[in-house]
Amino acid sequence: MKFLGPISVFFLLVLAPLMSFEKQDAAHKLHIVVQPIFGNRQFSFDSSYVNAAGESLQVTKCLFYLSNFSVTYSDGKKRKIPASYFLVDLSDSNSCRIQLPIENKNILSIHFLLGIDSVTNVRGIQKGVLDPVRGMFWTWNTGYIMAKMEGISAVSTLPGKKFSYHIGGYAGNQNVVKSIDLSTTGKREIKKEQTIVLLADLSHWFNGPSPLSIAQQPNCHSPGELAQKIAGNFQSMFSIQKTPTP
Amino acid sequence: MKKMNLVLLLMIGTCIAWVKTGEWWKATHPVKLTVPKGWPAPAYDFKENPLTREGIELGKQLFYDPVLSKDGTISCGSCHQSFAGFATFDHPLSHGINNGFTNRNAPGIVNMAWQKNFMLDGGILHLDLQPLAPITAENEMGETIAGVLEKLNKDATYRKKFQAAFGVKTISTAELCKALSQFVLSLVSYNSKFDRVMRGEAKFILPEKLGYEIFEKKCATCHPPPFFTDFSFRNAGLEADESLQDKGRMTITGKKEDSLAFRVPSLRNVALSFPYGHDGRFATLQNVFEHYRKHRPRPAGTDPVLQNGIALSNFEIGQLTAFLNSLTDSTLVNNPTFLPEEQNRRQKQERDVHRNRGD
Repeated sequence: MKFLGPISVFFLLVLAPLMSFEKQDAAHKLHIVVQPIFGNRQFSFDSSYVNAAGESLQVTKCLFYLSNFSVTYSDGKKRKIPASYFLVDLSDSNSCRIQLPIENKNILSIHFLLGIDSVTNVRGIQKGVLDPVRGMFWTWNTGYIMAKMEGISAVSTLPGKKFSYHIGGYAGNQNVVKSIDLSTTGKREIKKEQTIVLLADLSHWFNGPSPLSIAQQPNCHSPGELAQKIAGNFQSMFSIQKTPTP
Repeated sequence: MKKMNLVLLLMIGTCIAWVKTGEWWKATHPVKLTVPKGWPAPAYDFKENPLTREGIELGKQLFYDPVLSKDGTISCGSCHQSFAGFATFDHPLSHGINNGFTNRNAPGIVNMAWQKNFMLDGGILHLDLQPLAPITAENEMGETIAGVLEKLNKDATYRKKFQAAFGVKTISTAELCKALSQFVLSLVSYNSKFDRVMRGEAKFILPEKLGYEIFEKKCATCHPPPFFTDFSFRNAGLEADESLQDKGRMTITGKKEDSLAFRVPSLRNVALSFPYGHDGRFATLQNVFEHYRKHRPRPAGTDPVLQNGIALSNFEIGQLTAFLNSLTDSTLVNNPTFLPEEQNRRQKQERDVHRNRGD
């Protein structure tokens, strides 16, 4: 019996911390599924679409960062979700599923950045989805490529009929980071335990306040005026699907 | 006895918790950066990447290892040559893979701990990010980050060294670049004759002294000690090379007024680092002086302080040259700590041969 004391201490000190190593997070999760569309059509990489300039195009690659999420709960309180950085790669369905830890409440609206905040751009080398090895970082001009679209169009003047839009820039008049607020218009709230479908309409890259013609601008690879115009277009690409999927 | 058991268990528990948190690898040997007396505090944040003996040694091995390039021919040290004050020696444009030229003459990379942005156009805003530019540029090392990491992760020796320095099993971009930063940060040039004179340990000879006075009057606006650069970007009135089309700072800012502005280069070890100019167009210091003193209209956009050139007599150029030679830091460029290990071994062997002959 006299060993019971030390043994229980042993359990407490040694085994308990080991057992709690992979502690399950009991918090509630909001599931967001990013679903690409092009205009009123479903999007897929092997289909052709036509932009407002009447140019037929096929997208071969499309990635973007969503970061700095916060949610407004039904009680009106807005809460930041710490360290929320996601790289959505439309060719990788896993990366299109975003999980956010939330409180046990319904949600009125979600807010996030399309892109990466300026501080993180200059913090040195980050890990995970922010690692420059992911190909979403300019090595010659410090900063993340916030969003990237590459594809093919017969009207392109580039070799291989390619077009390529790498959109970045975070400082001053080069800033392309867009703050997105998606409220559930009307009275409906996003219920906890619900999966919401975030529609990403890729046609907005081309069609918007500054219509983008592949024939005229097949290429954007640096921060500046063109990048800002394209970002001004695609900032409206997100919406929450009206009928939630079961 | 019970108390003894409890203490023992507490110790074991602490040990296990320590190993579990991954703190055990911190058994590295910390190194303190030399901050010469009178210099400002370094700009680099050492809290994020504390210097260690293991990290610096690993960084040096990477610095001299052509494995970082696509075809295994170019290392960082290929263009940042120790004997040229870690700049490119003799070649106007630094060389890249496939017998190619890069767009610029690689500058010396000493005292980087005090610099806030990097490249002659200032495009890179953190020292840790700097290596990614030459590694991935098609006309420099032509690799991909993923390619380098794959090669390093396949190499058991490198894996072991990264584990020792950073406690990681898999090498990622962050550790690769932090190791390189550690070596580069350790390159502090503060033992030239100029520095020793300033510390009262040596005396200028007359031409050096006169040259220093001229320098203070005519050069120190842009090249102030102790770094011999104010780190600014200026258009020195060099016309753009038609084949290079290098717009300098404008490439980064997109601003017209930054066209053809390049970073004011440090003049430390300037006697070793010829040729000069961002594209190495000036073969000698004499060519540089001639550019500045030539009486001719300066191209539009030339920096205001250089609008009228710099009046320099032949006599002054002679004295200035003597002073600039006093900025050579032989304790840095000949220090085996900073040289490739292979070169150190070779030099040792050569010495041994002589000794045997003497015997």
